[in-house]
Amino acid sequence: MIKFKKKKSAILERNRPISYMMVGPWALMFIVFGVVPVIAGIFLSFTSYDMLNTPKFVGIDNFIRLLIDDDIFTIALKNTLIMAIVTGPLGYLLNFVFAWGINESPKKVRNLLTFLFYAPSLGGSLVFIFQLIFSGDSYGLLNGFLLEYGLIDSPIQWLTDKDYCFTIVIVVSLWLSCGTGFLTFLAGLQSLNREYSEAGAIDGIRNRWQELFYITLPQMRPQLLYGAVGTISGSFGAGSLNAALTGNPSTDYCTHTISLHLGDCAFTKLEMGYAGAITIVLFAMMLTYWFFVNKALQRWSTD
Amino acid sequence: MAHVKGQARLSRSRGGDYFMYFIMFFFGIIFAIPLYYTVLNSFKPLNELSIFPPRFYVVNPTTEHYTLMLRLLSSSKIPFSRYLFNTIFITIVGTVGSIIIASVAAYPLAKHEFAGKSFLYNVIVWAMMFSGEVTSIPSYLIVTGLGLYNTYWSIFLPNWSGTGNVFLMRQFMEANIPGAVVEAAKIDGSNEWNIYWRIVMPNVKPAWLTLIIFNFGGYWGSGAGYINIEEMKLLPTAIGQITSAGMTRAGAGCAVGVFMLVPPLILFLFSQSAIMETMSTAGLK
Repeated sequence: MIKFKKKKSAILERNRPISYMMVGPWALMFIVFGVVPVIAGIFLSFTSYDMLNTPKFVGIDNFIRLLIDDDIFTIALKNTLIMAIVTGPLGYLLNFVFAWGINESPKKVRNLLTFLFYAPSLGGSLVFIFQLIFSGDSYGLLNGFLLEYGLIDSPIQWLTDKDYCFTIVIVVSLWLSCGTGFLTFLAGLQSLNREYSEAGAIDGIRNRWQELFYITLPQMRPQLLYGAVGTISGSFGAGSLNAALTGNPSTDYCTHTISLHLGDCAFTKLEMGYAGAITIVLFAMMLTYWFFVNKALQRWSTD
Repeated sequence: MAHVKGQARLSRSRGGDYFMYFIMFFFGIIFAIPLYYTVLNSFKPLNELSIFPPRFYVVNPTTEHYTLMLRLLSSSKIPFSRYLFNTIFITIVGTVGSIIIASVAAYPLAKHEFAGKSFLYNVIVWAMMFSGEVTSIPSYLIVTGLGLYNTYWSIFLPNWSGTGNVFLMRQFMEANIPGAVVEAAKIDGSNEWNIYWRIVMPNVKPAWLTLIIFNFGGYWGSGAGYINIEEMKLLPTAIGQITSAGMTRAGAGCAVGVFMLVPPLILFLFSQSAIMETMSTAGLK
Protein backbone atom coordinates (compact mmCIF):
# COMPACT_ATOMS: atom_id res chain seq x y z
CA MET A 1 0.00 0.00 0.00
CA ILE A 2 1.29 3.37 -0.93
CA LYS A 3 0.72 5.97 1.73
CA PHE A 4 0.98 9.66 1.04
CA LYS A 5 1.85 11.78 4.02
CA LYS A 6 -0.79 14.34 4.84
CA LYS A 7 0.77 17.70 4.22
CA LYS A 8 -0.57 20.73 6.00
CA SER A 9 -0.03 23.23 3.22
CA ALA A 10 -1.46 26.67 2.82
CA ILE A 11 -3.00 25.75 -0.49
CA LEU A 12 -4.74 22.65 0.76
CA GLU A 13 -7.29 24.53 2.82
CA ARG A 14 -9.61 22.74 5.15
CA ASN A 15 -13.38 22.64 5.33
CA ARG A 16 -14.19 24.36 2.08
CA PRO A 17 -17.84 24.26 0.91
CA ILE A 18 -16.73 22.67 -2.38
CA SER A 19 -15.70 19.48 -0.59
CA TYR A 20 -19.14 19.11 0.93
CA MET A 21 -20.80 20.00 -2.38
CA MET A 22 -18.98 17.18 -4.11
CA VAL A 23 -19.70 14.57 -1.48
CA GLY A 24 -23.24 15.90 -1.11
CA PRO A 25 -25.23 14.19 -3.87
CA TRP A 26 -23.96 10.77 -2.98
CA ALA A 27 -24.23 11.39 0.78
CA LEU A 28 -27.83 12.52 0.42
CA MET A 29 -28.78 9.38 -1.48
CA PHE A 30 -26.87 7.27 1.00
CA ILE A 31 -28.78 8.81 3.89
CA VAL A 32 -32.13 8.24 2.19
CA PHE A 33 -31.49 4.69 0.96
CA GLY A 34 -28.83 3.52 3.40
CA VAL A 35 -29.26 5.22 6.78
CA VAL A 36 -33.00 5.90 6.95
CA PRO A 37 -33.87 2.24 6.22
CA VAL A 38 -31.78 1.14 9.18
CA ILE A 39 -33.41 3.66 11.51
CA ALA A 40 -36.83 2.84 10.11
CA GLY A 41 -36.09 -0.85 10.67
CA ILE A 42 -35.29 -0.23 14.33
CA PHE A 43 -38.47 1.79 14.74
CA LEU A 44 -40.61 -0.78 12.89
CA SER A 45 -39.28 -3.65 14.97
CA PHE A 46 -41.19 -2.37 18.01
CA THR A 47 -44.47 -2.03 16.15
CA SER A 48 -47.14 -4.05 14.45
CA TYR A 49 -47.57 -2.70 10.94
CA ASP A 50 -49.43 -4.17 7.95
CA MET A 51 -48.88 -1.24 5.53
CA LEU A 52 -52.58 -0.33 5.64
CA ASN A 53 -53.15 0.81 9.21
CA THR A 54 -50.82 3.07 11.14
CA PRO A 55 -48.03 1.24 13.00
CA LYS A 56 -49.02 0.22 16.52
CA PHE A 57 -46.41 0.14 19.29
CA VAL A 58 -46.08 -3.35 20.72
CA GLY A 59 -42.83 -3.17 22.69
CA ILE A 60 -40.58 -6.18 22.37
CA ASP A 61 -43.39 -8.59 21.39
CA ASN A 62 -41.89 -9.12 17.94
CA PHE A 63 -38.56 -10.18 19.38
CA ILE A 64 -40.19 -12.53 21.90
CA ARG A 65 -42.24 -14.15 19.17
CA LEU A 66 -39.17 -14.43 16.97
CA LEU A 67 -37.07 -16.21 19.55
CA ILE A 68 -39.76 -18.38 21.13
CA ASP A 69 -42.61 -19.00 18.73
CA ASP A 70 -41.21 -19.02 15.24
CA ASP A 71 -40.00 -22.49 14.27
CA ILE A 72 -39.26 -21.47 10.68
CA PHE A 73 -37.05 -18.67 11.95
CA THR A 74 -35.08 -21.24 13.94
CA ILE A 75 -34.41 -23.21 10.75
CA ALA A 76 -33.54 -20.03 8.87
CA LEU A 77 -31.22 -18.97 11.68
CA LYS A 78 -29.45 -22.32 11.67
CA ASN A 79 -28.98 -22.23 7.89
CA THR A 80 -27.79 -18.63 7.91
CA LEU A 81 -25.27 -19.47 10.62
CA ILE A 82 -24.03 -22.42 8.57
CA MET A 83 -23.68 -20.09 5.59
CA ALA A 84 -21.80 -17.56 7.73
CA ILE A 85 -19.59 -19.89 9.75
CA VAL A 86 -18.90 -22.69 7.26
CA THR A 87 -19.67 -21.61 3.69
CA GLY A 88 -18.43 -18.03 4.03
CA PRO A 89 -15.00 -18.82 5.51
CA LEU A 90 -14.59 -21.84 3.22
CA GLY A 91 -15.32 -19.72 0.15
CA TYR A 92 -12.97 -17.04 1.49
CA LEU A 93 -10.22 -19.61 1.94
CA LEU A 94 -10.78 -21.07 -1.53
CA ASN A 95 -10.71 -17.54 -3.00
CA PHE A 96 -7.34 -16.97 -1.44
CA VAL A 97 -5.94 -20.37 -2.42
CA PHE A 98 -7.06 -19.87 -6.02
CA ALA A 99 -5.65 -16.35 -6.17
CA TRP A 100 -2.38 -17.55 -4.69
CA GLY A 101 -2.28 -20.53 -7.04
CA ILE A 102 -2.82 -18.27 -10.04
CA ASN A 103 -0.04 -16.02 -8.84
CA GLU A 104 2.26 -19.06 -8.56
CA SER A 105 1.33 -20.25 -12.07
CA PRO A 106 3.26 -19.41 -15.23
CA LYS A 107 2.38 -15.99 -16.58
CA LYS A 108 0.93 -17.41 -19.78
CA VAL A 109 -1.99 -19.13 -18.10
CA ARG A 110 -2.76 -16.54 -15.41
CA ASN A 111 -5.30 -14.58 -17.40
CA LEU A 112 -7.05 -17.75 -18.53
CA LEU A 113 -7.27 -19.09 -14.98
CA THR A 114 -8.51 -15.75 -13.64
CA PHE A 115 -11.20 -15.75 -16.29
CA LEU A 116 -12.26 -19.33 -15.50
CA PHE A 117 -12.60 -18.71 -11.78
CA TYR A 118 -14.25 -15.30 -12.04
CA ALA A 119 -16.66 -16.01 -14.91
CA PRO A 120 -19.24 -18.09 -12.97
CA SER A 121 -19.80 -15.27 -10.48
CA LEU A 122 -20.23 -12.73 -13.29
CA GLY A 123 -23.11 -14.61 -14.86
CA GLY A 124 -26.03 -14.54 -12.47
CA SER A 125 -28.05 -16.28 -15.16
CA LEU A 126 -25.95 -19.42 -14.74
CA VAL A 127 -28.30 -20.61 -12.00
CA PHE A 128 -30.28 -22.29 -14.75
CA ILE A 129 -27.35 -24.52 -15.70
CA PHE A 130 -26.95 -25.66 -12.10
CA GLN A 131 -30.57 -26.76 -12.19
CA LEU A 132 -29.66 -28.92 -15.20
CA ILE A 133 -26.52 -30.27 -13.58
CA PHE A 134 -28.33 -31.22 -10.36
CA SER A 135 -31.62 -32.08 -12.02
CA GLY A 136 -33.55 -34.82 -10.22
CA ASP A 137 -34.14 -37.01 -13.28
CA SER A 138 -31.56 -39.17 -15.01
CA TYR A 139 -30.86 -36.39 -17.56
CA GLY A 140 -29.22 -34.36 -14.83
CA LEU A 141 -25.47 -34.32 -15.28
CA LEU A 142 -24.64 -35.53 -11.77
CA ASN A 143 -27.33 -38.23 -11.70
CA GLY A 144 -26.35 -39.35 -15.20
CA PHE A 145 -22.73 -39.64 -14.17
CA LEU A 146 -23.45 -41.51 -10.93
CA LEU A 147 -25.93 -43.88 -12.61
CA GLU A 148 -23.56 -44.58 -15.48
CA TYR A 149 -20.81 -45.66 -13.13
CA GLY A 150 -23.19 -47.63 -10.94
CA LEU A 151 -22.65 -45.48 -7.85
CA ILE A 152 -26.39 -45.05 -7.35
CA ASP A 153 -29.35 -47.18 -8.48
CA SER A 154 -31.97 -44.52 -8.97
CA PRO A 155 -31.80 -40.76 -9.61
CA ILE A 156 -31.52 -38.57 -6.53
CA GLN A 157 -33.73 -35.49 -6.18
CA TRP A 158 -30.76 -33.25 -5.38
CA LEU A 159 -32.76 -30.04 -5.21
CA THR A 160 -35.90 -31.22 -3.43
CA ASP A 161 -34.67 -34.00 -1.14
CA LYS A 162 -34.14 -32.40 2.24
CA ASP A 163 -31.08 -34.56 2.90
CA TYR A 164 -29.25 -33.08 -0.06
CA CYS A 165 -30.64 -29.71 -1.08
CA PHE A 166 -28.78 -27.54 1.43
CA THR A 167 -25.49 -29.24 0.58
CA ILE A 168 -26.09 -28.56 -3.10
CA VAL A 169 -26.83 -24.90 -2.35
CA ILE A 170 -23.54 -24.70 -0.43
CA VAL A 171 -21.62 -26.33 -3.28
CA VAL A 172 -23.12 -23.98 -5.86
CA SER A 173 -22.48 -20.91 -3.73
CA LEU A 174 -18.82 -21.95 -3.47
CA TRP A 175 -18.83 -22.31 -7.24
CA LEU A 176 -20.06 -18.75 -7.55
CA SER A 177 -17.90 -17.36 -4.76
CA CYS A 178 -14.92 -16.07 -6.74
CA GLY A 179 -16.06 -12.47 -7.07
CA THR A 180 -14.55 -9.15 -6.04
CA GLY A 181 -12.81 -10.68 -3.00
CA PHE A 182 -10.98 -13.11 -5.24
CA LEU A 183 -9.94 -10.31 -7.62
CA THR A 184 -8.74 -8.23 -4.69
CA PHE A 185 -6.58 -11.06 -3.34
CA LEU A 186 -5.13 -11.65 -6.79
CA ALA A 187 -4.39 -7.97 -7.33
CA GLY A 188 -2.88 -7.73 -3.86
CA LEU A 189 -0.60 -10.69 -4.53
CA GLN A 190 0.52 -9.23 -7.82
CA SER A 191 1.49 -5.93 -6.29
CA LEU A 192 3.38 -7.32 -3.30
CA ASN A 193 6.87 -6.08 -2.73
CA ARG A 194 9.09 -8.75 -4.31
CA GLU A 195 12.12 -7.59 -2.36
CA TYR A 196 10.65 -9.02 0.83
CA SER A 197 10.43 -12.51 -0.57
CA GLU A 198 13.93 -12.28 -2.02
CA ALA A 199 15.29 -11.05 1.30
CA GLY A 200 13.33 -13.83 2.98
CA ALA A 201 14.87 -16.46 0.73
CA ILE A 202 18.31 -15.24 1.72
CA ASP A 203 17.33 -15.23 5.39
CA GLY A 204 16.32 -18.86 5.32
CA ILE A 205 12.78 -19.11 3.96
CA ARG A 206 13.06 -22.54 2.42
CA ASN A 207 9.84 -23.09 0.51
CA ARG A 208 6.70 -21.47 -0.82
CA TRP A 209 4.65 -22.43 2.25
CA GLN A 210 7.00 -20.63 4.60
CA GLU A 211 7.04 -17.66 2.27
CA LEU A 212 3.25 -17.67 2.23
CA PHE A 213 2.92 -17.66 6.02
CA TYR A 214 5.83 -15.48 7.03
CA ILE A 215 6.07 -13.00 4.19
CA THR A 216 3.03 -12.93 1.93
CA LEU A 217 0.08 -13.16 4.33
CA PRO A 218 1.31 -10.53 6.79
CA GLN A 219 1.47 -8.04 3.91
CA MET A 220 -2.02 -8.91 2.75
CA ARG A 221 -4.02 -7.68 5.72
CA PRO A 222 -5.75 -4.81 3.88
CA GLN A 223 -6.96 -7.11 1.11
CA LEU A 224 -7.91 -9.85 3.57
CA LEU A 225 -10.05 -7.40 5.52
CA TYR A 226 -11.72 -6.10 2.38
CA GLY A 227 -12.45 -9.66 1.28
CA ALA A 228 -13.88 -10.46 4.72
CA VAL A 229 -16.33 -7.56 4.46
CA GLY A 230 -17.65 -8.92 1.17
CA THR A 231 -17.87 -12.44 2.52
CA ILE A 232 -19.85 -11.33 5.56
CA SER A 233 -22.26 -9.31 3.49
CA GLY A 234 -22.67 -12.21 1.07
CA SER A 235 -23.18 -14.99 3.58
CA PHE A 236 -25.57 -13.16 5.91
CA GLY A 237 -27.58 -11.85 2.97
CA ALA A 238 -27.68 -15.28 1.28
CA GLY A 239 -31.06 -16.40 0.04
CA SER A 240 -31.73 -15.54 -3.57
CA LEU A 241 -29.55 -18.39 -4.85
CA ASN A 242 -31.23 -20.80 -2.44
CA ALA A 243 -34.65 -19.73 -3.69
CA ALA A 244 -33.63 -19.94 -7.35
CA LEU A 245 -32.21 -23.45 -6.97
CA THR A 246 -34.54 -25.15 -4.54
CA GLY A 247 -37.66 -23.00 -4.71
CA ASN A 248 -39.15 -20.76 -2.06
CA PRO A 249 -40.20 -22.24 0.25
CA SER A 250 -37.93 -25.25 -0.23
CA THR A 251 -38.89 -28.74 0.96
CA ASP A 252 -39.42 -28.49 4.74
CA TYR A 253 -37.67 -25.10 4.55
CA CYS A 254 -34.39 -27.01 4.28
CA THR A 255 -32.55 -24.16 2.50
CA HIS A 256 -34.49 -21.30 4.13
CA THR A 257 -32.39 -18.36 5.32
CA ILE A 258 -33.09 -15.30 7.44
CA SER A 259 -33.04 -13.12 4.36
CA LEU A 260 -35.76 -15.27 2.72
CA HIS A 261 -37.78 -15.37 5.94
CA LEU A 262 -37.59 -11.59 6.03
CA GLY A 263 -39.08 -11.39 2.56
CA ASP A 264 -41.85 -13.85 3.41
CA CYS A 265 -42.92 -12.00 6.52
CA ALA A 266 -42.85 -8.62 4.85
CA PHE A 267 -44.24 -9.21 1.39
CA THR A 268 -46.35 -12.37 1.75
CA LYS A 269 -47.74 -11.90 5.25
CA LEU A 270 -47.45 -8.09 5.29
CA GLU A 271 -45.99 -8.14 8.80
CA MET A 272 -43.62 -5.22 8.44
CA GLY A 273 -43.00 -4.80 12.16
CA TYR A 274 -42.08 -8.43 12.57
CA ALA A 275 -39.84 -8.25 9.49
CA GLY A 276 -38.21 -5.19 11.05
CA ALA A 277 -37.38 -7.23 14.14
CA ILE A 278 -35.79 -9.91 11.94
CA THR A 279 -33.74 -7.19 10.23
CA ILE A 280 -32.43 -6.00 13.58
CA VAL A 281 -31.46 -9.51 14.66
CA LEU A 282 -29.64 -10.04 11.37
CA PHE A 283 -27.85 -6.72 11.83
CA ALA A 284 -26.75 -7.57 15.34
CA MET A 285 -25.42 -10.92 14.13
CA MET A 286 -23.40 -9.30 11.35
CA LEU A 287 -21.89 -6.71 13.66
CA THR A 288 -20.89 -9.31 16.23
CA TYR A 289 -19.38 -11.48 13.55
CA TRP A 290 -17.44 -8.57 12.03
CA PHE A 291 -16.14 -7.67 15.48
CA PHE A 292 -14.59 -11.12 15.90
CA VAL A 293 -13.31 -11.41 12.34
CA ASN A 294 -11.65 -8.01 12.58
CA LYS A 295 -10.09 -8.92 15.95
CA ALA A 296 -8.82 -12.24 14.61
CA LEU A 297 -7.30 -10.79 11.44
CA GLN A 298 -5.72 -7.96 13.37
CA ARG A 299 -4.09 -10.19 15.95
CA TRP A 300 -2.87 -12.73 13.45
CA SER A 301 -1.24 -10.41 10.93
CA THR A 302 0.26 -7.32 12.44
CA ASP A 303 2.28 -5.13 10.18
CA MET B 1 1.98 -1.80 -11.34
CA ALA B 2 4.79 -4.09 -10.39
CA HIS B 3 4.06 -7.27 -12.21
CA VAL B 4 6.07 -10.28 -11.27
CA LYS B 5 8.59 -11.07 -13.92
CA GLY B 6 8.90 -14.57 -15.26
CA GLN B 7 12.30 -15.17 -13.72
CA ALA B 8 13.21 -18.30 -11.80
CA ARG B 9 12.04 -17.86 -8.25
CA LEU B 10 13.95 -18.62 -5.12
CA SER B 11 12.45 -21.05 -2.64
CA ARG B 12 10.38 -22.93 -5.22
CA SER B 13 10.75 -26.67 -5.65
CA ARG B 14 9.90 -28.54 -8.83
CA GLY B 15 7.62 -30.95 -7.01
CA GLY B 16 5.77 -28.10 -5.36
CA ASP B 17 5.31 -26.43 -8.73
CA TYR B 18 3.75 -29.55 -10.21
CA PHE B 19 1.53 -30.01 -7.18
CA MET B 20 0.26 -26.41 -7.56
CA TYR B 21 -0.32 -26.84 -11.26
CA PHE B 22 -2.27 -30.01 -10.64
CA ILE B 23 -4.51 -28.32 -8.04
CA MET B 24 -5.11 -25.30 -10.26
CA PHE B 25 -5.79 -27.45 -13.30
CA PHE B 26 -8.24 -29.60 -11.34
CA PHE B 27 -10.22 -26.67 -9.96
CA GLY B 28 -9.95 -24.79 -13.24
CA ILE B 29 -11.79 -27.67 -14.92
CA ILE B 30 -14.43 -27.77 -12.20
CA PHE B 31 -15.03 -24.04 -12.52
CA ALA B 32 -15.23 -24.29 -16.28
CA ILE B 33 -17.94 -26.97 -16.18
CA PRO B 34 -21.02 -24.74 -15.82
CA LEU B 35 -19.81 -22.36 -18.52
CA TYR B 36 -18.79 -25.13 -20.89
CA TYR B 37 -21.98 -27.09 -20.28
CA THR B 38 -24.13 -24.01 -20.97
CA VAL B 39 -22.41 -23.29 -24.27
CA LEU B 40 -22.40 -26.97 -25.21
CA ASN B 41 -26.09 -27.53 -24.47
CA SER B 42 -27.06 -24.44 -26.41
CA PHE B 43 -25.68 -26.15 -29.56
CA LYS B 44 -27.05 -29.65 -28.90
CA PRO B 45 -30.03 -30.75 -30.98
CA LEU B 46 -33.01 -31.90 -28.94
CA ASN B 47 -32.35 -35.63 -29.34
CA GLU B 48 -28.82 -35.20 -28.00
CA LEU B 49 -30.05 -33.18 -25.04
CA SER B 50 -32.19 -36.08 -23.90
CA ILE B 51 -29.59 -38.81 -24.22
CA PHE B 52 -28.69 -40.87 -21.17
CA PRO B 53 -26.06 -40.47 -19.86
CA PRO B 54 -25.62 -36.77 -20.67
CA ARG B 55 -22.76 -36.19 -23.10
CA PHE B 56 -19.87 -33.80 -22.69
CA TYR B 57 -19.59 -33.20 -26.41
CA VAL B 58 -21.96 -32.56 -29.30
CA VAL B 59 -22.23 -34.68 -32.46
CA ASN B 60 -24.46 -32.56 -34.68
CA PRO B 61 -24.22 -28.97 -33.52
CA THR B 62 -27.24 -26.84 -34.31
CA THR B 63 -28.25 -23.21 -33.92
CA GLU B 64 -31.94 -24.09 -33.66
CA HIS B 65 -32.11 -23.05 -29.99
CA TYR B 66 -30.92 -19.56 -30.86
CA THR B 67 -33.58 -19.18 -33.53
CA LEU B 68 -36.14 -20.69 -31.15
CA MET B 69 -35.06 -18.20 -28.50
CA LEU B 70 -35.63 -15.29 -30.85
CA ARG B 71 -38.95 -16.69 -32.05
CA LEU B 72 -40.20 -17.33 -28.51
CA LEU B 73 -39.17 -13.93 -27.39
CA SER B 74 -40.77 -12.09 -30.28
CA SER B 75 -44.02 -14.07 -30.05
CA SER B 76 -44.61 -13.13 -26.43
CA LYS B 77 -47.13 -10.43 -25.51
CA ILE B 78 -44.46 -7.77 -25.41
CA PRO B 79 -41.73 -7.96 -28.04
CA PHE B 80 -38.29 -9.08 -26.97
CA SER B 81 -36.79 -5.88 -28.33
CA ARG B 82 -38.68 -3.98 -25.64
CA TYR B 83 -37.07 -5.93 -22.77
CA LEU B 84 -33.69 -5.69 -24.46
CA PHE B 85 -34.05 -1.94 -24.94
CA ASN B 86 -35.11 -1.50 -21.29
CA THR B 87 -32.13 -3.46 -20.04
CA ILE B 88 -29.67 -1.63 -22.29
CA PHE B 89 -31.16 1.68 -21.18
CA ILE B 90 -30.90 1.02 -17.46
CA THR B 91 -27.45 -0.55 -17.88
CA ILE B 92 -26.04 2.53 -19.60
CA VAL B 93 -27.74 5.20 -17.51
CA GLY B 94 -27.18 3.24 -14.31
CA THR B 95 -23.50 2.57 -14.95
CA VAL B 96 -22.67 6.11 -16.06
CA GLY B 97 -24.58 7.53 -13.10
CA SER B 98 -22.85 5.20 -10.66
CA ILE B 99 -19.41 6.17 -11.87
CA ILE B 100 -19.98 9.92 -11.96
CA ILE B 101 -21.66 10.08 -8.56
CA ALA B 102 -19.09 7.80 -6.95
CA SER B 103 -16.06 9.56 -8.42
CA VAL B 104 -17.31 13.08 -7.60
CA ALA B 105 -17.79 11.98 -4.00
CA ALA B 106 -14.54 10.00 -3.88
CA TYR B 107 -12.31 12.89 -4.99
CA PRO B 108 -12.76 15.08 -1.89
CA LEU B 109 -12.70 11.98 0.31
CA ALA B 110 -9.29 11.11 -1.11
CA LYS B 111 -7.68 14.51 -1.64
CA HIS B 112 -9.43 17.20 0.42
CA GLU B 113 -9.29 17.95 4.12
CA PHE B 114 -12.62 18.57 5.77
CA ALA B 115 -14.36 17.89 9.05
CA GLY B 116 -16.22 14.60 9.00
CA LYS B 117 -13.99 13.04 6.35
CA SER B 118 -12.70 10.15 8.40
CA PHE B 119 -16.14 9.63 9.88
CA LEU B 120 -17.58 9.30 6.38
CA TYR B 121 -14.83 6.87 5.42
CA ASN B 122 -15.65 4.66 8.39
CA VAL B 123 -19.35 4.79 7.58
CA ILE B 124 -18.59 3.68 4.03
CA VAL B 125 -16.56 0.71 5.23
CA TRP B 126 -19.26 -0.32 7.70
CA ALA B 127 -22.00 0.02 5.16
CA MET B 128 -20.23 -2.23 2.66
CA MET B 129 -21.01 -5.10 4.98
CA PHE B 130 -24.74 -4.67 4.75
CA SER B 131 -25.96 -6.02 1.48
CA GLY B 132 -29.20 -4.74 0.03
CA GLU B 133 -31.12 -7.84 1.12
CA VAL B 134 -30.70 -6.91 4.74
CA THR B 135 -32.45 -3.56 4.52
CA SER B 136 -34.87 -4.64 1.81
CA ILE B 137 -37.97 -4.14 3.98
CA PRO B 138 -37.46 -0.53 5.08
CA SER B 139 -36.01 0.27 1.63
CA TYR B 140 -39.21 -0.95 0.08
CA LEU B 141 -41.20 1.39 2.31
CA ILE B 142 -38.95 4.29 1.32
CA VAL B 143 -39.16 3.56 -2.40
CA THR B 144 -42.95 3.43 -2.25
CA GLY B 145 -43.09 6.39 0.14
CA LEU B 146 -41.13 8.56 -2.30
CA GLY B 147 -43.44 7.52 -5.14
CA LEU B 148 -40.65 5.70 -6.98
CA TYR B 149 -42.59 2.48 -7.37
CA ASN B 150 -42.88 1.58 -11.06
CA THR B 151 -40.15 3.99 -12.13
CA TYR B 152 -36.56 3.24 -13.06
CA TRP B 153 -35.48 5.58 -10.24
CA SER B 154 -36.26 2.65 -7.95
CA ILE B 155 -33.36 0.83 -9.59
CA PHE B 156 -30.99 3.79 -10.03
CA LEU B 157 -31.16 5.59 -6.70
CA PRO B 158 -30.57 2.63 -4.36
CA ASN B 159 -27.66 1.54 -6.57
CA TRP B 160 -26.16 5.01 -6.80
CA SER B 161 -26.33 5.36 -3.04
CA GLY B 162 -24.12 2.29 -2.62
CA THR B 163 -20.79 2.58 -0.84
CA GLY B 164 -18.74 -0.03 -2.72
CA ASN B 165 -18.15 2.20 -5.76
CA VAL B 166 -17.17 5.22 -3.67
CA PHE B 167 -14.80 3.07 -1.66
CA LEU B 168 -12.95 1.61 -4.66
CA MET B 169 -12.68 5.03 -6.32
CA ARG B 170 -11.41 6.68 -3.18
CA GLN B 171 -8.78 4.02 -2.54
CA PHE B 172 -7.51 4.24 -6.08
CA MET B 173 -7.40 8.05 -6.11
CA GLU B 174 -5.64 8.11 -2.75
CA ALA B 175 -2.90 5.82 -4.10
CA ASN B 176 -2.54 7.20 -7.61
CA ILE B 177 -3.12 10.96 -7.59
CA PRO B 178 -0.16 12.74 -6.02
CA GLY B 179 -1.23 15.62 -3.82
CA ALA B 180 1.39 17.81 -5.50
CA VAL B 181 -0.39 17.57 -8.86
CA VAL B 182 -3.67 18.72 -7.35
CA GLU B 183 -1.91 21.58 -5.57
CA ALA B 184 -0.09 22.66 -8.71
CA ALA B 185 -3.38 22.83 -10.58
CA LYS B 186 -4.83 24.95 -7.78
CA ILE B 187 -1.92 27.37 -7.99
CA ASP B 188 -2.61 27.66 -11.71
CA GLY B 189 -6.11 28.76 -10.79
CA SER B 190 -8.14 25.71 -11.78
CA ASN B 191 -11.36 25.28 -9.87
CA GLU B 192 -12.20 21.98 -8.20
CA TRP B 193 -14.59 20.76 -10.89
CA ASN B 194 -11.89 21.35 -13.48
CA ILE B 195 -9.34 19.47 -11.42
CA TYR B 196 -11.79 16.61 -10.99
CA TRP B 197 -12.60 16.41 -14.69
CA ARG B 198 -9.24 17.23 -16.30
CA ILE B 199 -6.71 15.86 -13.84
CA VAL B 200 -8.29 13.31 -11.54
CA MET B 201 -10.59 11.45 -13.92
CA PRO B 202 -8.08 10.86 -16.73
CA ASN B 203 -5.68 9.45 -14.14
CA VAL B 204 -8.07 6.95 -12.63
CA LYS B 205 -9.11 5.20 -15.83
CA PRO B 206 -8.40 1.73 -14.40
CA ALA B 207 -10.80 2.50 -11.56
CA TRP B 208 -13.64 3.53 -13.80
CA LEU B 209 -13.11 0.56 -16.09
CA THR B 210 -13.37 -1.63 -13.01
CA LEU B 211 -16.55 0.07 -11.87
CA ILE B 212 -17.95 -0.29 -15.39
CA ILE B 213 -17.46 -4.07 -15.18
CA PHE B 214 -18.88 -4.45 -11.69
CA ASN B 215 -21.86 -2.20 -12.33
CA PHE B 216 -22.54 -3.39 -15.85
CA GLY B 217 -22.85 -6.97 -14.59
CA GLY B 218 -25.23 -5.86 -11.86
CA TYR B 219 -27.56 -3.80 -14.06
CA TRP B 220 -27.45 -6.23 -16.98
CA GLY B 221 -28.66 -9.10 -14.81
CA SER B 222 -30.94 -6.91 -12.71
CA GLY B 223 -34.52 -8.06 -12.27
CA ALA B 224 -37.23 -5.42 -12.03
CA GLY B 225 -37.65 -5.46 -8.25
CA TYR B 226 -39.96 -2.49 -7.77
CA ILE B 227 -41.45 -2.44 -11.25
CA ASN B 228 -44.75 -4.05 -11.99
CA ILE B 229 -45.52 -2.70 -15.46
CA GLU B 230 -44.86 -5.33 -18.11
CA GLU B 231 -43.59 -2.84 -20.71
CA MET B 232 -40.94 -1.63 -18.27
CA LYS B 233 -39.65 -5.03 -17.18
CA LEU B 234 -36.16 -6.20 -17.98
CA LEU B 235 -34.39 -8.97 -19.83
CA PRO B 236 -34.22 -11.50 -16.95
CA THR B 237 -38.02 -11.42 -16.76
CA ALA B 238 -38.33 -12.36 -20.43
CA ILE B 239 -35.70 -15.02 -19.97
CA GLY B 240 -37.41 -16.44 -16.91
CA GLN B 241 -40.46 -17.11 -19.08
CA ILE B 242 -38.37 -19.28 -21.38
CA THR B 243 -36.39 -21.20 -18.80
CA SER B 244 -39.42 -21.86 -16.59
CA ALA B 245 -40.66 -24.41 -19.17
CA GLY B 246 -38.04 -26.88 -17.92
CA MET B 247 -36.44 -29.75 -19.80
CA THR B 248 -38.21 -29.23 -23.13
CA ARG B 249 -36.70 -25.76 -23.32
CA ALA B 250 -33.33 -26.73 -21.87
CA GLY B 251 -31.55 -25.90 -25.14
CA ALA B 252 -33.25 -22.55 -25.54
CA GLY B 253 -32.57 -21.83 -21.89
CA CYS B 254 -28.86 -22.40 -22.46
CA ALA B 255 -28.92 -20.21 -25.57
CA VAL B 256 -30.40 -17.47 -23.41
CA GLY B 257 -27.74 -18.10 -20.77
CA VAL B 258 -25.01 -17.66 -23.38
CA PHE B 259 -26.68 -14.50 -24.64
CA MET B 260 -26.75 -13.05 -21.12
CA LEU B 261 -23.18 -14.07 -20.30
CA VAL B 262 -21.36 -12.86 -23.37
CA PRO B 263 -21.49 -9.05 -22.90
CA PRO B 264 -20.14 -8.93 -19.31
CA LEU B 265 -17.53 -11.59 -20.08
CA ILE B 266 -16.23 -9.72 -23.12
CA LEU B 267 -16.01 -6.52 -21.09
CA PHE B 268 -14.13 -8.39 -18.40
CA LEU B 269 -11.63 -9.89 -20.83
CA PHE B 270 -10.82 -6.48 -22.26
CA SER B 271 -10.32 -4.75 -18.95
CA GLN B 272 -8.74 -7.46 -16.86
CA SER B 273 -5.46 -5.62 -16.32
CA ALA B 274 -7.24 -2.39 -15.36
CA ILE B 275 -9.28 -4.32 -12.82
CA MET B 276 -6.16 -5.85 -11.32
CA GLU B 277 -4.62 -2.41 -10.99
CA THR B 278 -7.70 -1.03 -9.26
CA MET B 279 -8.23 -3.93 -6.91
CA SER B 280 -4.62 -3.77 -5.74
CA THR B 281 -5.57 -0.53 -3.93
CA ALA B 282 -8.83 -1.91 -2.54
CA GLY B 283 -7.48 -3.00 0.84
CA LEU B 284 -8.83 -1.86 4.19
CA LYS B 285 -6.25 -0.33 6.49
